[in-house]
Amino acid sequence: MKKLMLMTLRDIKSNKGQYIAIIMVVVVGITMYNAISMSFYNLNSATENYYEEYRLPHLFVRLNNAPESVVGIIGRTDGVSSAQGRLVLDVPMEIPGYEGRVHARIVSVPRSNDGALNKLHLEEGRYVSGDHRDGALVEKLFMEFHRLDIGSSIYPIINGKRVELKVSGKAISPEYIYAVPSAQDMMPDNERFTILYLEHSFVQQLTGYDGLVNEVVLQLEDAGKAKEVKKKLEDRLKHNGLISVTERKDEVSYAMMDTELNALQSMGFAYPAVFLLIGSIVIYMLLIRLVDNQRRQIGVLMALGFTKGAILFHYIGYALLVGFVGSVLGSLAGVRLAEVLTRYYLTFFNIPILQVKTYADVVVLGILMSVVFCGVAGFNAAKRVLRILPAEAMRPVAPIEGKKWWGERILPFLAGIRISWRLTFRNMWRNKKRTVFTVVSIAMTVGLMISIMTMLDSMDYLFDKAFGDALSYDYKVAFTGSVHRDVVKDLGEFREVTYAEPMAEYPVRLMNGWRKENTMVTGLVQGSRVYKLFDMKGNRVEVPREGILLTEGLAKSLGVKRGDNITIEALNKPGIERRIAVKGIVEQYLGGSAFMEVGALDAVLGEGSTINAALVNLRYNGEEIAGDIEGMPYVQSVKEPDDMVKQYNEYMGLIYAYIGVIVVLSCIMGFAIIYNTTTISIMERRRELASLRIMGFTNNQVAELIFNENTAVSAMGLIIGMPLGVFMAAQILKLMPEDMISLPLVIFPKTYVLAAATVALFVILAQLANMRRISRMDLVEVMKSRE
Amino acid sequence: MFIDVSNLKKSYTSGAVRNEVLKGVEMKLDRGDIGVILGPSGSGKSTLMNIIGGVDRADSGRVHVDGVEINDLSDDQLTEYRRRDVGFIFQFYNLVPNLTVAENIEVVSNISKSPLNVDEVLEAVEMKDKKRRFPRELSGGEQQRVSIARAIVKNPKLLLCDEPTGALDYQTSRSILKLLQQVNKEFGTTILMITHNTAIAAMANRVFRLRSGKVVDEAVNQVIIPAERIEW
Repeated sequence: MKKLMLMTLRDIKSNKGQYIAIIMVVVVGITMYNAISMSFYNLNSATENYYEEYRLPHLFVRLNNAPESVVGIIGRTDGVSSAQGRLVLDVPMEIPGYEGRVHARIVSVPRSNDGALNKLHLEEGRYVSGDHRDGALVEKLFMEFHRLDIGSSIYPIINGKRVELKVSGKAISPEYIYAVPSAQDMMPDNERFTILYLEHSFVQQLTGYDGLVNEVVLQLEDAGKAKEVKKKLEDRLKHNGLISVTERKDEVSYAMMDTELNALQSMGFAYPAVFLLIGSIVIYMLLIRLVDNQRRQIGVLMALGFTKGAILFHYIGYALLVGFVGSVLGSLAGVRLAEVLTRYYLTFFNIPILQVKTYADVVVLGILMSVVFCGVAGFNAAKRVLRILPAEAMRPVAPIEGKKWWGERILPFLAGIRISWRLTFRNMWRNKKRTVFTVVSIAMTVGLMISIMTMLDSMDYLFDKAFGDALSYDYKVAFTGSVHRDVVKDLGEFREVTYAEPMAEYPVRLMNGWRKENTMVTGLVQGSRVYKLFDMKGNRVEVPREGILLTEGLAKSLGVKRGDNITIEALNKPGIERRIAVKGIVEQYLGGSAFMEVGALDAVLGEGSTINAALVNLRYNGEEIAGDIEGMPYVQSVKEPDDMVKQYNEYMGLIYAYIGVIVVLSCIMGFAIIYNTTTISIMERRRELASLRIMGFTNNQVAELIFNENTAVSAMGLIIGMPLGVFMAAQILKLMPEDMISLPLVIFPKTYVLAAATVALFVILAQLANMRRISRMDLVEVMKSRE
Repeated sequence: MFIDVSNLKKSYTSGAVRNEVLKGVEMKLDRGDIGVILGPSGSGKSTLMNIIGGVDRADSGRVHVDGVEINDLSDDQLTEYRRRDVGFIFQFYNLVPNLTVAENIEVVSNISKSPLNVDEVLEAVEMKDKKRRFPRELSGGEQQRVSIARAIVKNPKLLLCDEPTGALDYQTSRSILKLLQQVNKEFGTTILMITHNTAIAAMANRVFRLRSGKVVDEAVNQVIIPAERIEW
């Protein structure tokens, strides 16, 4: 057995290029598996522990200013273990030395942080109690962005009054892992939005809301009974100014993190599985060639008394060795990459107790997966050993049977093409299995690349569509709450404003039977000049007087079509549920997934002529008046479309990182596949190629024969890989959070061109890497013996 | 003198072992002659032929073919030399299995500057009626005929045959030898042939006996026997 092992190692040494290429494929798959899985586990355990340790509430009760006694009422409700009242208000804020607009969410916190719900993690500084009662704890990423220090002054404008506050600490809250003001804002904006944690009675004093709260957060005895308690609270507080009771899972930060983790988890298995599958295909092809090549040697070993089992195991050993070495290297690289990815995540999510760990179970599972994948491929290739009889094996192999392939019979013109191409197609036909495997492997690689690059196309399309045709407003003004629609007239008072129209955005749950989707419904005026909707054919569509328009993705998720009825439930107001007709399907772009006429939306949600946003156009070359508008008492924020793009691009950094990793790894794999196929092809045909060289074929002419085959196989892989990529992209898009943004499946021609160019590059590189094999072919040696 | 080999030496090193294969070979052959090299295994016959054919290089000595010093040619020039001037016939034919008879010949004719007509060559080797067959569908003798056709289609000056009848039965061997003699006559091609079979020497103008890397005997046949009359 030891000698057989020695043979294995020597064989590997003499074909090291090929083995390195296969090992690379395994390394790539296992690296990806480890990196993504471990990032998932790191983040998942960190968030779970964080929520647990820092007591993230199970329910959030929002009220119109209510006396503090309501906290007691809520706290005594069955199933509630603790309740905490607070004031939450959004205000504009000035930062010395910063010209832009900032808006801050003031969240009041109890006198003591210990035992508090939403306990704060202080990175630096002191908690707001005792001597520091009038200080402000500021959200960490915002402080870092603005380089604020402990003791820096910040100036929130509360009730129209500029108040100076000293920063007393840098804080992180489990409620704002993903710090966005509302579900309308897709991405965190550490430049212009932050959370200030101020002592509760200090906030009451600043705002004049003595003895009042507008939110109560609570933890339950049994988290599983959230729905039940929610219902109870909705009933009990109906007459106490209740706005909404939200479960933890519907809170923006929690939902975003959850979506992110789910996507990570699915990616953690799907992509590596594809890589390992391709790796096993390549190993399978390589071993088949090896066994065929060493037929005579197998015969000799059998004649010498080695059992078939021992010889079989010897050949499976190659695959196992590749799987093992590849997975060990992949695990090492994956652990390192997991750390990088996890830390990268932290630039988007506020998680203080992250531990970057190496998960032994992930490593072991990765190695096992790899060994099993490779082992199965190895067994399937090596089992032909069992069919070999010693005497037969020691005889020369039967000559290759040449024949025309069916294409030549069906399409006679194929019989008239250049001989080198005829030879190419016949060879591909002769090695059908290998051709199919190579085509499939290349198709999968192309599919991977296209699917991941489609993300970029879809985003680009969305932006182009949104800012090209659909959205032409200069500012989107968000109000602090629901305001009367006449407020829009106030905006028109500004000299620079040429046009303003009302708009509303509310979080809702849309339901069709068991299918439910949480989303934002956007209320628009009919004939909007600045927010246009288009149907799937690109024709302008108006919001209907009654009923709702849905984006295609949302309609699909709900399983509805035009004319169906769905149930709409307001998420910010308890107990409001209405049936509503789907009046059409529209294209998706930034901003919303469901659209209604603003008045109709108002009627459904029972607001009473209210809106919570406005869209504004400015005079051409007009001055920046965002700051002035933001100074208005009921204005929460003013956003320009550019801001969205900027924020979006920042968030995209994370996606780019993944796309980059997957594209690079796919390229390595693509190269490895073609390199291996080329090598196998050259080795199998070395006698034929050598005789052509002797006849006077130049190295390039011989290489052309191999190149043709690679080109043909790759072209087929490309043709199949393109639709496969579209299919895979559609699957990936399904993982995206539907309620935040639903990406249209768009693939620009340049993506196909890029994929084709990449494959062409693999072919050329593989060819170049193998040119040496052709030019250094020992003609004398090859001609000496009959194979 | 068409082939003029002088003091040709060649050795191979395998690990620590150095094996001197040719130890100063002298050989001359006139244009249009048939030369036969006889010798036991390991005597250096194939090495000598490979060097003359431009497939291998000598360590020292001279190899003139039609006035050109083969040993001084670059790799590219050697390729050109093989393409233009030399035709090879192997013991195991080495036809491209995935090409038909005609295609095996065309593939070489396509890269030649002034090739002969493929059909005429097929006619000459009596394989025209089987030109659409693949090598696997042919007997050994037929495959060797195709191999000869492939070698002569480019109208080479020199035909190198390495045991052309080594894998064939008696009757087939005679027909192949006859064909070679016919090619020699019709096309004026100089032929150098390696064989174990001393009887074949009778059809050659010159016979060289090689032993341990040296020509130990050289004979000129005054009377050339037609291949069909050779018996062994």
